[in-house]
Amino acid sequence: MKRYQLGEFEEIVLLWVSIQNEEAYGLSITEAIKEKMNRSVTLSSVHTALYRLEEKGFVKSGLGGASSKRGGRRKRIFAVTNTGKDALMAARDARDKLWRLMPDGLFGFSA
Amino acid sequence: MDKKLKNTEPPIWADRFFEWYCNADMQEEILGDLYESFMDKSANGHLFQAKCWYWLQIILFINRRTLSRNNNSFTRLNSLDMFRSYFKIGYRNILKNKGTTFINAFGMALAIGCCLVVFQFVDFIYNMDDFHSKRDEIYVVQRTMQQNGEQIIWNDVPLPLGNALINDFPQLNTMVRVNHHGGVVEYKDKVIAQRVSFVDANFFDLFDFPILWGNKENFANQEGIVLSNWTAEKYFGSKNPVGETLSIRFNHKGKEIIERFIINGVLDKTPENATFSASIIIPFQRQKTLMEKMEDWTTTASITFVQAKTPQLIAEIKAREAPYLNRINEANEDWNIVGLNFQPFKQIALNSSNTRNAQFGFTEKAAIYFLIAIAIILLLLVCFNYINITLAAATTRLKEISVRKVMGSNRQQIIWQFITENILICLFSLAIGVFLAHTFFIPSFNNMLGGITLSLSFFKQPLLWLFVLALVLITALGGAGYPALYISKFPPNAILKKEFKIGTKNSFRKVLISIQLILTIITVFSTFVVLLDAKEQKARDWGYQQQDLTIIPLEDGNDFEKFKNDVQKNPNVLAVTGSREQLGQNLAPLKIEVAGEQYDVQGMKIADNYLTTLGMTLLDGRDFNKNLEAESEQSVLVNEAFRRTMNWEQAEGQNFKIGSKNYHVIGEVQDFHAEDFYFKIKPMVLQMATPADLQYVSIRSQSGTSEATAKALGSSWKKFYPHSPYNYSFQDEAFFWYFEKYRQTNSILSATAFMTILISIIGFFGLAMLLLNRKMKELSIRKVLGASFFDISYLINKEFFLPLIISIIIGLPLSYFIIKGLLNSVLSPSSTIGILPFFLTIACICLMLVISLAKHIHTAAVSNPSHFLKDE
Repeated sequence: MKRYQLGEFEEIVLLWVSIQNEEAYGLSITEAIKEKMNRSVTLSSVHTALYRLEEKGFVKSGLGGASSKRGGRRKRIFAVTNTGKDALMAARDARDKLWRLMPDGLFGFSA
Repeated sequence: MDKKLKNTEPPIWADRFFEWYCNADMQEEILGDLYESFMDKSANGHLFQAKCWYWLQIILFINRRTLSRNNNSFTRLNSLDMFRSYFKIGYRNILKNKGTTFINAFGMALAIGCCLVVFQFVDFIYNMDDFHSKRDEIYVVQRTMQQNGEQIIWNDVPLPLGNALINDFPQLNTMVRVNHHGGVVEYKDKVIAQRVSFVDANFFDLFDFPILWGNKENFANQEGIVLSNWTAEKYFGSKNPVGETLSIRFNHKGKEIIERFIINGVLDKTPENATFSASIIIPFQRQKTLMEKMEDWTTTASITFVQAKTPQLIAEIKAREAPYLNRINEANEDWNIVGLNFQPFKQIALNSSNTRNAQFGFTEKAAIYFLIAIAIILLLLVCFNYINITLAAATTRLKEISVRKVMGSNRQQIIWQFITENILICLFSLAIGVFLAHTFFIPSFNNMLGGITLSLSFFKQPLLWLFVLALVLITALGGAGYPALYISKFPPNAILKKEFKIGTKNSFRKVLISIQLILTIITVFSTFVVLLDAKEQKARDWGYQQQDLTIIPLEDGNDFEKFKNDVQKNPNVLAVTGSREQLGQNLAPLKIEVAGEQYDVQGMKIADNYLTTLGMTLLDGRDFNKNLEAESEQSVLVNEAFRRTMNWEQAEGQNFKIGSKNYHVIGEVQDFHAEDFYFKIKPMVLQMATPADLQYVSIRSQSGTSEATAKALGSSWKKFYPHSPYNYSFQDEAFFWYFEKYRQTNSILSATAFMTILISIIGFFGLAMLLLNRKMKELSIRKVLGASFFDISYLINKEFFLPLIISIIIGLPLSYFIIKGLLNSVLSPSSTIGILPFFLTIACICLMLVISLAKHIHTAAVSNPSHFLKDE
């Protein structure tokens, strides 16, 4: 099986790119992480993660439309690539596999 | 509305900063996100917080990714590579044009060397006394007196003033008085007359003179004294004298006091930048036993120092000075003090030149300005040289520049290229300049001034580094700035197509040459004026015979007649007389009253044949006669200036008052210079001295024998004054410093004139060489067609002829006025500027041009024309 280099934070960002399909950009992801996950995160770390993901080929990007809300500047819209999807799936599989090995009753429920 | 909108924008400097550091590819999206977020945050009104947050974000975005640059970006060049290229090209160019480079570099090295000397000197003067850690808090208390309509500052103030000040203003931390006094110091067989200094007990709390042996801490409590290094050496050689005993004899109001002192400590060598020092330091409490006049407002302390933490305190004292003034003026009726003057100790060296009784080494401010002016002139000259030569050489480089432009250089880059080239030359000249300054300029400057030893110490002077850096930048920008701007502006296609020729209009060059010549004329002219003036002064008539006149100071005038009779037995002695004052040394002011009006004049007391011994001329009336009883009581002689001031037809027979006493004028003496030539001859009253008045013996000896005679008279001296040291001096030595100042000014001016001439010759030589190279073809054709030697030399001289005429017309009057105005402190007011310096200057400048051009004219005239014509 192919190995994917995907860190924990990168995985979260990549998940959000997938969730906000075709609408994801730096700020939207930052705010989503802050609000939905209650996790403090700065714009610059999200941007850095996005660029890294793009370098690894997990996301692709293009410049979207400008708006006065952004001072006339365009957004960089990110979308997940097939490799990205594979990486997410692989990460999830790896985790599921581990959960299945969990002894019964340890968490009070059966996995 | 608009304003409000603007106010809610994110901070513009943050954006600029971001745009500066961030990779251009990422800027838009990141800034967009930040903007959006900022708008959300500022919407709830916390604008300041939003802005802080924005800045924080901008800073957080600094990382490897945003700082990285894409290699394929055309918008930014690697400036390091660019500068490397400049240096490479510059280096190659320098090697290619060795001749002009050498000319530029050598001239610059000379100027830089001189600037370093001036910097060192100014630095030295401004750091006077800096070894005293409390220097900046110390003030010298002085008095301002109204005398003859002028305000004159005297350095000595009444002894009790210091105490009064510190009692009334306890905020003054310390008060220290220094009182110099004459004394005769005896140790075994050595008897030497010497100045001793009584000081307050806390002297060493305020001043940090380094100590060599013993200690200075317990100075106040012990009975001891502290000697200076060189005084200790005089009596004890190189061995440690701590614990030894010296006896010092004081003569106070005719009373002899002998005191014994134990040496407590010896100071180390006084730092060279000390403005004052003392040779024998004695605590004040010992003076009490000697003179017990500490509360007398008519006696003065030579120096009174106070320490004030803030200048405001001094201002406060100054505002409440009136009671002191009254007190002083009451005690001293003829003083008329109008104010106290608190002179900051750190500037004492610059402000003491006009202070009377100043006890500090000083430098005239004018001398410093003068040296700085010299440095600036030399720098200007080398910059002009560089501009001229670079512009003249630009024709050969125009093609290079055009090609660069075609290849995509912008104007800025070409300008930088020129400046880098000059910086290279400047660095090179800096190295030579430092070398020249270190090995040659500074040692000879020390020689010229005498008494100070400057040296370049890059390790101890951080300021020197800054200065050198500034010097290189100024010369580089000054020299290359204009040529770079000028040459870089032409469109490349015009140059490449040879549509256009540079340097055909050369009025700019002519202006520069004229300015160079004017500056040279100013320095040469001033040199000649001062040189000639010094010569004239040496030959000037003093009004008495200064040569072959020996002066011996007396301690007690009562044995004068006996000593005189003994001295006259020496066959080389022609005449002997005595006086209370020595000419040129210590003339006292005198207040007189003529027909109810007060006048300030000078007064001297002389023995009966003083006039004939010194060779003064009696114009009218008669000399003093010692056989007339009433002479010293009533008779006076006056000089011509006195008669003129009083508007008298004849001086003899007139009367005036000194104090309450009436005096009768018995004769008029021809004017003589009692002070040096700097001062006008003042009205003078000569009184007959009583034996007790006499302090100096003047001995006229056979021409050329004064040295031997003076030595021989030592034995007579021993007979009458066995306990006093035998000191003699010669009258012409009294004016040593006056002529020494001339000598210093002369040598510095001559050196400057030499430098300016040398730099100009170098510059003109280089310029003419370049111009000639361009014209060689034209000249060769002219020669083939029959032009004579004079036609050829005219063509070369043409470039310099007009500037020469212009600069002489402007430069000579200009230098005349500069000398008249600025150098008034150097020349004595009575000096005149004759016609000779003008001619000498013109001759010198013409000679300078001939030297610069002769070789080129010769080359042009004698070379074979075919040599230059066949190369294509």
